[in-house]
Formats: sequence, structure tokens, C-alpha cells
Amino acid sequence: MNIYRYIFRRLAGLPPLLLGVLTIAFLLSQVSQVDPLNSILPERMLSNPAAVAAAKARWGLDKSPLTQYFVYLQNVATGDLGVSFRTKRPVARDLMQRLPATLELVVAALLFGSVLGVATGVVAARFRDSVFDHAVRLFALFGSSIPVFWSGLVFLSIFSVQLGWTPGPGRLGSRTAAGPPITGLHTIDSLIQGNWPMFFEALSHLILPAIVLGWSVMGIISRLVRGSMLDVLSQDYIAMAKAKGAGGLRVLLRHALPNALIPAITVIGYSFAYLLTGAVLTETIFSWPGIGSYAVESARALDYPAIMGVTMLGGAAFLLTNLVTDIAYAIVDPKIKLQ
Amino acid sequence: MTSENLLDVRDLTIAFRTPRGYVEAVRGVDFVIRRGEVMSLVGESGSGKSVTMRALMGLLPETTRISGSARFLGQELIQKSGRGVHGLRGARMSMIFQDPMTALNPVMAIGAQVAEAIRIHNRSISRQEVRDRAVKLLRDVAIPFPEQRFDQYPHQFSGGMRQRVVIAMAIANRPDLIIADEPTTALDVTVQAQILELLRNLCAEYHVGLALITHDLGVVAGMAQSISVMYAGAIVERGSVEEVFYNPSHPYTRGLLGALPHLTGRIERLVDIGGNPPTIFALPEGCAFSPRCAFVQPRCRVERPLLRQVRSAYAACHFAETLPAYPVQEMQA
Repeated sequence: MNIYRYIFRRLAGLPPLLLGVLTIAFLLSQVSQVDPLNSILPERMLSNPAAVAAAKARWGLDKSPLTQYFVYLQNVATGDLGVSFRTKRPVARDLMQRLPATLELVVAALLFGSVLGVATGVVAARFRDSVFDHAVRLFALFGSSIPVFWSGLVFLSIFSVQLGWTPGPGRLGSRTAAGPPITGLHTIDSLIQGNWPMFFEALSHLILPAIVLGWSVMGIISRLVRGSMLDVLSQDYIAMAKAKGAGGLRVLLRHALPNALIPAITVIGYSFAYLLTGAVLTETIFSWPGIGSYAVESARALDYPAIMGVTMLGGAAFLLTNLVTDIAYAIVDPKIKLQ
Repeated sequence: MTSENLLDVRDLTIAFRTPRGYVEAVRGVDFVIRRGEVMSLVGESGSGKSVTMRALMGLLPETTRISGSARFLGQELIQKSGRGVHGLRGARMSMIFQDPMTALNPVMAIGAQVAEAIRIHNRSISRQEVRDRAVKLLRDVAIPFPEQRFDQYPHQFSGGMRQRVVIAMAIANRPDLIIADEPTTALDVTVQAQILELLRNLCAEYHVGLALITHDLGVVAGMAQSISVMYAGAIVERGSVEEVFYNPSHPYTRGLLGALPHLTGRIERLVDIGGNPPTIFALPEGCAFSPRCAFVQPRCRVERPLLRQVRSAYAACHFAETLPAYPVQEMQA
């Protein structure tokens, strides 16, 4: 089957799924006993009937929930996610502004976590029960069990404060102004513009949070790859490859690894979708202006339009990542056909 | 046919590391394969036949303890480090595995796997030439439409066709010795015959020595010139197929042959060998077969019989000469 037709068909299936996500999110907001007026109006105005009526009319809260629902859907269909109670700006614009920061962080973290996870998993499987294997097991265990807010603080205090190797929190130094955004990813933008000092500054800010976040996913990937490598290495086709005279490295990388990577694809894909809205702690510790911290700020302020927007973004991220992992499967495993 | 010894195995002993210490799976095996000869290694599951051959290919885990000698083309295969075997493996000696469903890498195209067998041992030839040779190999093993099949994956092939691919890889570098580990056990009966004929023709054409591991005595009769019967990690009888089939000297061999149905003669209940083979963790004292042997004597339970000449063959039985005469039977071909 033509891959473009497949992608198109899968994308066409997205809106109904998103509709489901939105409906559930809307229902939850209705079930909640908290009156959004609390976040719209200052406390002293809540006893002023005129102000309350005006606010209700302005935000559409005087309509029935069903009307609110359909109005919201209509707006979403045209790309309007409403206006944030808190920032008083369109939610879509807020998200678009926050997304690149999170993307940059999550992609860097996943790159670190997957490369290190796969590499250590392969070596640990090859030298099973060696000192290295046990060391990786311990390192992986720490990565997945130490909470990010703790490792983040410890890393900051060691590498930024005491050693001074990395700058403090934030995406850029306080005196550096970001150039006009192209992709919004500072590292990529500065590369496109050939602005090397800017690139290194962005990179030096990125490296610590990326390692902290990446370490937490590296553990799972490493353990998973080790396990599937051990399974693959005991297969007949590995003995066959050796019998053909293939060297150790060739057997490991050409024959075993591609087979062992298949289960890792799912984990890497899901980690990506999860971290997109779930990197809250890392973003908070490192003052990273991303989606995660936006979600927390919005939830604290009972900012319903923003919460709905984040929910929808998270849903879309999961659905798109699913599509990408399915395509990746089909590329790696010839037995899987896209249909 | 020359009588040059292609492979000369002497006193090969293989011990595996287990939680209970090292355990010997193969205990002092000797045999010879001559150029162009088909030698069959016969025995029940767990008798050590596959382990013996895998040791020669260098496919056993690094923790395995191997001693004894195996000279192949004048080179010693049993070495402290497996380095020396590397250049021979896949080039001068190759292996066909039992189950073609698992012997091919599922994420690599068939052609790439055959081409790799050529490529590893000949880095200087061009990509196109490797492809041409791989296609020719696929044609040699009678795979229809080899050009079209070249880029397909293992799951698009039937079991018989996959085994042909495995054979194509085994003959890719015109080896002197092919080790075939139960090459037809996992296949349908009709396909078995085709694969055996293909193997027989290829071996005759290229004058290859073939070590055929099997538990199918019918296959042995149809393919092999010599036979070695293994039991509990040791060879208990060895000789030409005719001698061993018509005049088996070891009670175990007699038991194996007795368990075969005859094509001619009356249909009667098949005779089985009572009991089970011993595990390598708890071998009986003396002769390993003594607990199941119909002719067992007190001496058998204390003294391990060594392989010695009995008539024109070799057998490891204290009483090989004094066993009752074996009824002459029809050979299966």
C-alpha cells in the first residue's frame, strides 16, 4: 500500500478521536464543582451581581452547558481554542509559543535517553552478568527511580553552582535575547542563522535538563533492549550468521540489533508523547517555559480554556506518535504491512 | 574418490557450565570424514550429536570447555581462542540448520543474506557481481524466479524454500565440508525428499564432505556411506552403513534398527528400546547403555567399554562378538 495514502487515511481518522478527547475533557470540567468565575473575577467582585453577570455574558457562561459545548467545538474546528482566563490571550497562541521549548527539551532528552539506553542495553546483553552489565542495571535503576525534581536540583547544584560547567535554569541567559523565531527551537534557529555563540548558549542551557529528563527514560529503554537482545542472540539465525563467518560486531549490530529494536520503538514513541505534556517537574526546576509548566499554571488558576487546550494537544501528540511508531514498525519489520 | 581425511576428530570432549558445575555432554568422540564422503551421525535427542558439530563450527557458548583435537584441512579447530576458525567458518566449512523457519534473519531480505555469505569471505568483488552470484546460487538450489525472490523476506517463503536458501548460503563459497544438522526434520515429508536429493546432488557435484546429523535411519541409508551412532555423549558404534545396518554389533544400534518399520515382511508391533536415555547429570557407572540393555552382564555395570574394532566396524561393547546373531534384514532405501 502506498505510504502517503496510508498516512492520509490515518490523519483523516484523527478528528473523531480528538472529538472524543475533547468531549471527555469537557464533561470532566462540567462535573468539577469549581466555578470558573473564581478565576475570572477578583474575589471582591464576586459579590457584585452586575460584574458577575457581565463576566458570564463575556465568557459565555450564561449559556447552557450543551450550548457551551457546541460553541466550543465550532470554535475549535476553526482553530480557535478560546481565550485563557489567566493570560487573557488566545490559548492557541499560548500553546504555539510554549510548544517549541518543550519540543526542544523532549527531543534532546529522548535522543540522549535512547542512544544511551540502546547502547548500554546492547553491551550489557553481549557481556551478560559482567561488571558492566551490573553497573548499567544500577545506573538504569537510579534513572527510573530517582524523581526528576530531586536529580534536577542535585545536578543544578553540582554542575551549575559548584562546578560552573553549565549555566543556570532557563533556555537562554538573562541578557540574551532570542532572535526572530523560525522553528522556535533555539538550537535549530541559531544554526539556521549561523549564529554560533547563540547556538552554544542554547545548547549549554539545554544539556542539563535534557540529561535529567533523558536519564529517566534511558533506564527503561536500556533494560528493554538488553532483554530483547538476549532473546534475539539465542535465536538460530544468529548462530547461522556466525556459521557464515560473520564477525562478532557484525552479528551484534547487523543481525541482532534490528530485531531487538522492534519492541523499543513503542517505548520510545510513548515516552515522547508522554513527556510532551508530562515534563512538568523538569520544566519547573529548570524554569523551562514549556507546555508542562503551562499546564500546571493553568490548572492552578482554574483556567478551563487553557486546560482544555493542553488536553487536546496531549491527545493529538499521542495519536500522532502512534502513527509515527506504526510507520517505524513497518520500516523495521518487513512482516508488518501498513493497511 | 580420494581417501584424504578432510576432518579428523580425536577424543573430543565437551563440558557445559551449569549451576551444578561443569557437565560433560560429549565424552571422547573420534571420527573421520573423508573428502566427498557423507558421514551420518545418528542418535536420540540429547545424545550429543548436534553439540559435537556445533563445537567444530565454534558455535558453543564461550564458557564451554572443549578438549581433544579436530583437524580440518590440516588446521586445528579446537583452540584456546576461536580466532583461527574464523576464516574457515562459512568459507571452507558451513552449516545447515534444523529449522529453516528460524534460521533466517526475519528483517533481512533473502538476497542480502545470501550475498552476505559471499561478501564476508570476499571483500574485493563488486556489489553487482555479488548480486549475480547470489542469484545464481538461488537458481542452483532450484528457487523459482530468483531475481524476483532476491528482495523478498523470509516470511514470504515456505519452509522448503527457506531451507533451500539456507543451503544456498552453505554452498556459497564452495566449502569442503558441510555440516547438516537434521536438515529435513522440520519439513513436510514430500519436501524432505526434494531437499535430500538437492543436498545429495550438490555434494556429489562439488565433491563436498557432508556430516549429516539425523535420527532418521531411512535418511542415513539413502544418503550416507559411513555412520557413527552416538549414545549419551559417546560414539557406541561406527562403520560403513552397510556393515552397521546388516551386522550391528552394539545392542543400542540393534535397538534403533529394530524400532524401524520394515517395508517388506509382516506387519507387526515395532520393537522399542525400553527405558529412557540417561541425563548427562547422572550417567550410570560402566556402560551408559547398561540399564536399558537386553544383554547386560555384571561387567557392563562397572567398566566403561571403549570403542574397538569388531569385524570391519567399531563398537563400544564388551560382548560385541558374543551377542546372538543379528537377523539379516532388508535395507531401507
